[in-house]
Amino acid sequence: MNEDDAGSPPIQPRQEPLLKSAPEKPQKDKPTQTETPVPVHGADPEPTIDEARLNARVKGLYQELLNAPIPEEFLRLIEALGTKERET
Amino acid sequence: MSGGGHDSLRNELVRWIPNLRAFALSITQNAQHADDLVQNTLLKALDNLDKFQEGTNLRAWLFTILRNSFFNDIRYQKYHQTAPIDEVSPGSLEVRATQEKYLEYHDVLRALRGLVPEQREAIILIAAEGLSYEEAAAVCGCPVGTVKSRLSRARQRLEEFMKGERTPISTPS
Repeated sequence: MNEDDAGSPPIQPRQEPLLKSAPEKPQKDKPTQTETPVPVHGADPEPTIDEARLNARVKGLYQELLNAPIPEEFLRLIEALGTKERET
Repeated sequence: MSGGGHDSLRNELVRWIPNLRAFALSITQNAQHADDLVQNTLLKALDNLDKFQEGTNLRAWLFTILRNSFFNDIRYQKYHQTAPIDEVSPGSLEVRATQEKYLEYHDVLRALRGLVPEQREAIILIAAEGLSYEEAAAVCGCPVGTVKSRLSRARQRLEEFMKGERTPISTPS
């Protein structure tokens, strides 16, 4: 920066819109999509299930499904195809 | 690829069978359909092992084969999507689950049934299987934004379901 610039105010970007439009109405009562609903105690006997709890439930089910024994036929299938491949 | 390479890939395939089965059960809600899908996936994978690039994501590759087969089956109405829910759980869920847990799993299964298949696969792949948005998008063959949007709708609908009707269901004797 040179000395001439030091005293001059910095150029500000235009603040005002080119076309004046009606001021936006405040939307206090309109929740955004990203907001998590807040449980109202006393009004709703069921607690709000938050995302983490939902994930935990889905994961719990999935974990049970993962623990189910693998049918023998799948293992035999892979073994048989492996043997066949080695022979050819 | 060498025979040794194939052997190690085959071992990797075996490693992912439980995940394939859990994913198939979750999206089909039908034990017979799920097992058929897993079997077809394994056959296709073994037939195309040469096309698989070692070092890339085998799990995502297998899941892609499985979900594509699933949507083909739906397209040709090979299986009825409205199979009774009990076709899934008694044979598939471990008996060691407590009755309370069993009922909870049933609730989740029922809730999952209320989702369209695309939402179901999104929540399973990301929330349960732990895939990243990018991996899930690759599996589903759609943009990341689409996966996020499906996941969001899935969560919303599941939450609505779980807060709503929770009809008691019969447990296996």
